Amino acid sequence: MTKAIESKNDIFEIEFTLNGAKKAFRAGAGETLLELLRREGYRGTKRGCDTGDCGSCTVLIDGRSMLSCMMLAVQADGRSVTTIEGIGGPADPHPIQQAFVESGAVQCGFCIPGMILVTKELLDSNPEPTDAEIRQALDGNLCRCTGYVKQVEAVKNAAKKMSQKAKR
Amino acid sequence: MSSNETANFKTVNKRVTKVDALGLSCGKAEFADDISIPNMLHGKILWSPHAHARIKSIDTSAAEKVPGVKAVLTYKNVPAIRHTTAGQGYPEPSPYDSLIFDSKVRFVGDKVAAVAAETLEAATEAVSKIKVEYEILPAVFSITDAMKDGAPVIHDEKDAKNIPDPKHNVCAKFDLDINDGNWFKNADYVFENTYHTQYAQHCALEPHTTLAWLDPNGRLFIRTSTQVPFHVRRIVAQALNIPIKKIRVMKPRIGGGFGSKQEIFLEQVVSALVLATKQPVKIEFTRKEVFISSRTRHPSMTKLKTGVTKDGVITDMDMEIYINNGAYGAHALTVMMCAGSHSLPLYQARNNRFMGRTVYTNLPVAGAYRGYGATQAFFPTECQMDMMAEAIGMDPIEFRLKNYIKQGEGSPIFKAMGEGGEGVEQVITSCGIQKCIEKGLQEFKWSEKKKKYAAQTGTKRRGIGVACSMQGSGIPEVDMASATIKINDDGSFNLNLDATDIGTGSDTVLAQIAAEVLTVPTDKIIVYSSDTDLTPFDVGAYASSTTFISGNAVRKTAMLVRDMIIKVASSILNEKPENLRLENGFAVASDGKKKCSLAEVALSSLYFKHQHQICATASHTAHTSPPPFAAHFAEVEVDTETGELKVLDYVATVDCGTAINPALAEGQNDGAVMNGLSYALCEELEFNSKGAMVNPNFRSYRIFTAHDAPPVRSFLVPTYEPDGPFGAKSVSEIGINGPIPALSNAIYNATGARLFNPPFTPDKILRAIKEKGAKK
Amino acid sequence: MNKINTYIRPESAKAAAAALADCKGKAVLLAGGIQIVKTMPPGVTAVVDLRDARLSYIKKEAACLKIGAGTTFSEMVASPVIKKWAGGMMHKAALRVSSNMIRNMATVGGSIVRPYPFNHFPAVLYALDAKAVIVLKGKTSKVAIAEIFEKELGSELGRTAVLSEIQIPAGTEKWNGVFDRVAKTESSWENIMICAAAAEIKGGVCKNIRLALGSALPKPVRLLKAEKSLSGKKITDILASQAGDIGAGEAGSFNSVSAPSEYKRQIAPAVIKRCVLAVS
Repeated sequence: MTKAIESKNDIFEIEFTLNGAKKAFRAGAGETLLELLRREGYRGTKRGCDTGDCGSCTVLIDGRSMLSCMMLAVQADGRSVTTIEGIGGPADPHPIQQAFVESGAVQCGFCIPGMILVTKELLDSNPEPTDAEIRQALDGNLCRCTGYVKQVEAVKNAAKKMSQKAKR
Repeated sequence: MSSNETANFKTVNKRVTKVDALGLSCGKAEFADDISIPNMLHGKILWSPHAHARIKSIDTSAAEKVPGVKAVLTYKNVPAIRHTTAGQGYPEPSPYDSLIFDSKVRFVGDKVAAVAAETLEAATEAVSKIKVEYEILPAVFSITDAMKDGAPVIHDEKDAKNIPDPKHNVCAKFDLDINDGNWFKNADYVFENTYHTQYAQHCALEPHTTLAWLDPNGRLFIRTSTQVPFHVRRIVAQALNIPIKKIRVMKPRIGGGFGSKQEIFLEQVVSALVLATKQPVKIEFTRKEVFISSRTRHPSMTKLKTGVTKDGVITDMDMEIYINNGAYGAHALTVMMCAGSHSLPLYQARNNRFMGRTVYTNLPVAGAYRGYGATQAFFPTECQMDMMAEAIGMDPIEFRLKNYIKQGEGSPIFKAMGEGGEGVEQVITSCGIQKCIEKGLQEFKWSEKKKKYAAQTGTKRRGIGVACSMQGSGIPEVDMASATIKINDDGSFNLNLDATDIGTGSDTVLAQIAAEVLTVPTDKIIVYSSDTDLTPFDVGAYASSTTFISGNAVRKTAMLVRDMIIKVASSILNEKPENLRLENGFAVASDGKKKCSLAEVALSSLYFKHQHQICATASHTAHTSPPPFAAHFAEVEVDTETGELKVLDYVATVDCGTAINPALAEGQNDGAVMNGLSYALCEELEFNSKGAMVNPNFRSYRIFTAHDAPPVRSFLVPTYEPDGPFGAKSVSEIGINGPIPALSNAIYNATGARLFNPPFTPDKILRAIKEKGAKK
Repeated sequence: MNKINTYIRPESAKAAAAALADCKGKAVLLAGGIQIVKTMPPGVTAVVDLRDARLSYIKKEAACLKIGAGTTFSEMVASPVIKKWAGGMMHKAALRVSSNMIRNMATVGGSIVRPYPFNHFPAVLYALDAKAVIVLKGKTSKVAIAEIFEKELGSELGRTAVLSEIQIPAGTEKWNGVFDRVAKTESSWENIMICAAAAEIKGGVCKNIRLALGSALPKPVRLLKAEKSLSGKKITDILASQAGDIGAGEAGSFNSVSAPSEYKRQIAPAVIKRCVLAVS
């Protein structure tokens, strides 16, 4: 059955799971998912270029990293979206967030939410990635501050932390 | 403090976790676009489609009628006060050649008008409805064309200041000649070459964004992504003709700057819209607008003539450098001078001549960018070092070690050339260049690789190259920083300063310095930075000044606070102040038995006796600018049939004195080096014949990704700088100077082909190879 | 950005084609979205999203390998069948598409409907003799990939026609295959030149060979003369050199996307040669 939804006054009424909670949202007719998320207060997802080239707007859609600036907001309907806020907060950071902090991989921090989400995607399917696999996974997240050196270290440290956590 | 005590540091020289890293990793930290306020309007700017034109008429009536539009500003309804957009100390050494909006446009992407409206869509629609009639003028796009007699005059306005030769579009010039009367007479070999460096951009991931509003008392609050809050305040006041006391500038989290935000070109536009609408206004540049209408690196053309004797003494250095400032003169004099002042002293040539000209063209505007002229200059000098060494049959490392400036030595260049004017006399008080080279040779396995690549066959050739450099640590006698520290009930401290953390980690580094003096862990220092109402003056984050100058200000302030603590403690413990010292957060008597905690001191001083707030402010300017030193080593593989190049290994050593935080210092170096490699190999802003940028996006203007990044290894080589806080110098800029010359040298070593014009893309490498033929 | 007022999710390629027809020219197909979301043609107010159309599959059948047009590049990279097919050339090509997120979003179908220089797959599929299955006006037809870039069909795809599947002849499974790419950087979208080669080598002799050049020309091309010069022969260094020269000559005039056309003309022989040697 072909599903079709129409906007009313340029607004789509949609529903999607955001950071684990299914909610109703209003998606503008000319709006990207990035704009919807930031408008809804999820400001950890950043706008670096708006053309799909920098990775600052990365979110996880059904567990896969995607560019929210290159998606219509309405495309999120019926899906599961994870932003950096759904990974962990200062009171209960995810091991990946901790690893980035401890490895000195965070300078200005603008690219970091995207990097952390991609790292989660990587480590969920590949718990012991090689350097080359890490760099391949991060190849859509531009960073001008770090030269990527400590970020690759951070992903390796995150892998260690997560495997230790899994063993317990 | 001396080098002997570095082993006893408790917080300094430790890998303290960056104080803001957790918030950033959780996406919680607030950047400029992350805050919106009720009633906020969105601003959009109309950009010029022409490279050079006068505005014959401008009709905003249709734009004003778009529903939701609250203001449309053009040159007709904003103050016309010429200023510079360069974020520099007053009086700024850059030409005053900019208006908020002008009746003339000077590059494709120049500001024409601005709209504030209730939605971004309405603002965008209104911008498209502004009708402008232009009288198109002839344009110039190259340095040589711009300087010709009869060239179109880009700045012919009567009220501009500080333009040495408007008729030839020269917006800055500097000449220096220090010679013993024997120019090139003692040289056995003379080399003369012309080198170019290209237009490039910082590509900070966060676009320029400013939000401003009026408080209930009519003061203008500006929350902006900037490296220079106090300069923002002063220049906005100047441009809008309002008193400085009416303005407050605050810095949010900044998503990178690298020099692109050492500039004030957006804040005055947003502020003007706020004053016109009496509502908050936010403008966030699109990435395309950042590329075209923010700031770039100065492209350069350098003619370098050097002389050397048979036994390896550099006799003469003659540098003629032209840099392209684009349509406005931000940082025109200073970048050009730094090209000479940061490079020439390294070589200790007997005769030195420098001729610098900065030129206007009808292209996007250049400004401050990491390296700041030194990057442009070390390309010619470090390539020519290799040429000279080869000519006299000397090993390039040995040749460098023989000539480079050493500890205790001075240079006449230091006094003659600073940044914007005369410099200061200084001698090198900490010099790790030799140790940097030794460390690099070892880690890079230089000798082993040299032997391996001595005789090669096949179409793929490998080669190695070296390049060294120096930079500065702040601008002596110009840059000033200050800090305020106060104690809290629980023995923690507030450290308020304007030193602008743009991602560099200066909040952490400066907290470590305060913590070291006050003998507490870093998490007892609460840093609040960059609010012109609440933090004392600092020039801001540029010229590699933060650790060296702001760090000294913090150290001085902490020492004053320490004295005040001791005075209170002496009353509590009934001990003479001279018998007390701070240790692990306690005031301890010399007998080791009597002690009281900082919390006790705080409570006593706040509530019990002789109540007063333990609080001090101190400032610092420097009389020297001790250079950091770097030695870089590159190994490349070149496919001689296609020109494709792979960087196989890159070692970057740096002497930054004491690294206050080694992890952050390494991070700075890693980032600077990677930026330099990307600049050397694939970055270039390109323009069509009408001066319009053709690649204003990350897809066509490529910067390295994690996958592209060659293996870079950074090594800190410690020395101890007596003028620096706990022996520290600077580290943030110098790393970007090495890659272009190191790669040019390595490509020559691999193929015999010398490239004089980055980016070293495959087509240029192939062309150079075809012109020279393979070496071996 | 266009205001999209209708969002349709069909459950098959046929239903997608029907939905496009219903929208009477006001709709576009949306697969990965990378080439369409920010560059919608004027007048488009509806989007037909293929995410539920069950076009993501990789099926090895007796006659051919069937790849659903909605298969993402990440799915291609992860597929054990693709990793082994024709020396893994499709795997290598998929691995080098843009960036991680784009590989998760972009589809094989989407990457071949326009001959944009930044797409790898047209040249790769030429070298594998692939065919495309198109659904248009209720009819399903199979066309050679090259036909997609002909004016008529090319403008229909995504507007009225749906590319639903790519079919690769079963015989190419055991062939050697090579994917070569020259670009400014490894991660760069914009290719300077793509060369794809697939060959059936039996007893040291080249029984069948396919050479394709992409990204450097207005449309990808098969280097038929170069192929002929190698077919039935044992590939030697000299022969490969000659094939390189022939191939560069027959390719046509090079574009200047990402690098000067003169440079592309200069390196084409060497790039083709190294592909030929690698595939032999």
